[in-house]
Amino acid sequence: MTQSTLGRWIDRLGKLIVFVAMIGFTGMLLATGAQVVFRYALQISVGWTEELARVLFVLSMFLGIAVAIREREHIVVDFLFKKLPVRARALGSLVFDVAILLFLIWLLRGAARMAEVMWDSSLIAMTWLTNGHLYVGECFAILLMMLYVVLGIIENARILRFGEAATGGEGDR
Amino acid sequence: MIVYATLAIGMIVLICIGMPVGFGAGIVSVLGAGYFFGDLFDPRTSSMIARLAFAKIDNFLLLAIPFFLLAGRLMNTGGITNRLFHFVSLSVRPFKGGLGHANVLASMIFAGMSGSATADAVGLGTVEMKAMLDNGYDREFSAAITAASSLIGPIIPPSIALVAYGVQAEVSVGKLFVAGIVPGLLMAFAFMAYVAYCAHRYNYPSGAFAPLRELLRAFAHGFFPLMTPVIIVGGIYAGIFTPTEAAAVAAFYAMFLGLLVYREYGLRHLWREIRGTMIDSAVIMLIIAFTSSFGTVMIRGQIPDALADLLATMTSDPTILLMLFTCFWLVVGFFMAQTPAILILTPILLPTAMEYGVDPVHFGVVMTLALTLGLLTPPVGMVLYALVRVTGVTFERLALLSLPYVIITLGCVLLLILFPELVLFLPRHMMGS
Repeated sequence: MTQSTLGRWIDRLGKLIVFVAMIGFTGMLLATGAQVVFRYALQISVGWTEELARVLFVLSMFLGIAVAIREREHIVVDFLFKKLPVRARALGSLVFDVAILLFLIWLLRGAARMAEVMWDSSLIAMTWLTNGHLYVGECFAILLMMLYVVLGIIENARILRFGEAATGGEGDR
Repeated sequence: MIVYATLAIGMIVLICIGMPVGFGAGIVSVLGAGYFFGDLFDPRTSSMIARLAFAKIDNFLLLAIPFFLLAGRLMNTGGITNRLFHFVSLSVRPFKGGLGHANVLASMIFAGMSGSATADAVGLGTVEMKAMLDNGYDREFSAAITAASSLIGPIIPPSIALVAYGVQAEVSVGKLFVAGIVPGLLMAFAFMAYVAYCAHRYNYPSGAFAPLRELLRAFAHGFFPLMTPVIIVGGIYAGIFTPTEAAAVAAFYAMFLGLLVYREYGLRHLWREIRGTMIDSAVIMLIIAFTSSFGTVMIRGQIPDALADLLATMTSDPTILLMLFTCFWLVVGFFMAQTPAILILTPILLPTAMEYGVDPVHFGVVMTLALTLGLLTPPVGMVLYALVRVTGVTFERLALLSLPYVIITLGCVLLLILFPELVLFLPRHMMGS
């Protein structure tokens, strides 16, 4: 597989992840709205709306964290960092990304263990879903985060090697 | 204990040198948990952090944050800010410096819809700046009052910062919302008093009384936006909605106004705003997930107890304690955004404050207001950055021009510390003890 083909697949995956996360986000908004409608308009008290909203929220937020890594949207105190020259910034980002990658590998191990432990622990209203399933969702999101961190490492390594030319003259992300 | 203290300092250093806040807290939590279990590779260590992160996000109350963020974004682009400001400016036009007052009042009402200072500064700020410049106000005065008035956003309910505090401190968000009303009004009153002083000193213009028909027309146009705070706060107070449901209703209401009533945008724009909100929310949730793990690790390391012991050698007076904390929050505010700072500091400082008998609602409101000042102070003042483009004033100049308002807000913080009833009276009488 050539580098550009791989890049296209990663882009497609990114778009799919954003779409799924946004569907989850919209779903949780609708579920919360439905809770109010059920209670006041239909006079029915349902338990699944809150649970569904929570499940969609957790999943869309974990996917959203991966998207934020890809788009470099995370909150950073960068008043010192952005004063550094491009190569120094790339080196700093590289070190941070490696530390984050190690952390994510470690977190994946914990999430996988939790998925195993909680596999049979059903939710209260949506009994067909277990907490183990949700931890599997967390594992998937962590894997995505790792993918995007690795891509960040590759890009910073290129900047370190080729300088500002590797960024197309836009400096570090 | 020294190890945990070193870890806490290590996290601050990591964040200050540019590590993303959420991951910085996560990495330090791992090291702390590893030390606690005696082995970094003990399976309990990784399970503990994964479980804590998951459990903290798996909270229905937290859904209020993305919903309020979405409502704020949609209000800004749905023509709501224009209608709101038009009505308010007509109402106070006869007063000297009327548009300065309108700036504060409109921000106060907008704060009752969105709960974010930056949303206020960027959205309403654009409308406010244009109106003030068109009416002969000087750019610097207009920029400063636009920046300052946005500080009311995180205090007047609904407030994203107070939701974050409520989740972290396990305090009723409804009570926090009600507790924010008087401090928000106090700030608005103080800002308007300063505007009145400046208006007389620099002879700012006043306008004619608006004809009743024009005023009524502006009220009719602004009626639906003006109802938003009533729906949110009234709904929570009357027990009709939980804070999360109120936030969802606010988001639906903003969609209804923008899409169907005012027809300012279409579904494509809505989809774009949902995308932006989803990413903004995820960024906050990452911080919530791992700062709570960090908080748990710090509590297991007995850091709050050690802090309380240290402070006990300095004072036993809760008022002095809050003043000391305020000095600390001001320093933190220089370097860190408000919500992350609240999320990191609450688990460490709140137990200490409670040992001194400080009410957690009082503590939350004072901390939120003190950290709000960081939005107007360099080097990371987010409102200043947001307003540089809107106002055409440089970052450094805007920071300097905002200084009188920073001092005024600091005075408000001091009043809240000295008179806790300013915060606690309303929640106690409206929602019980």
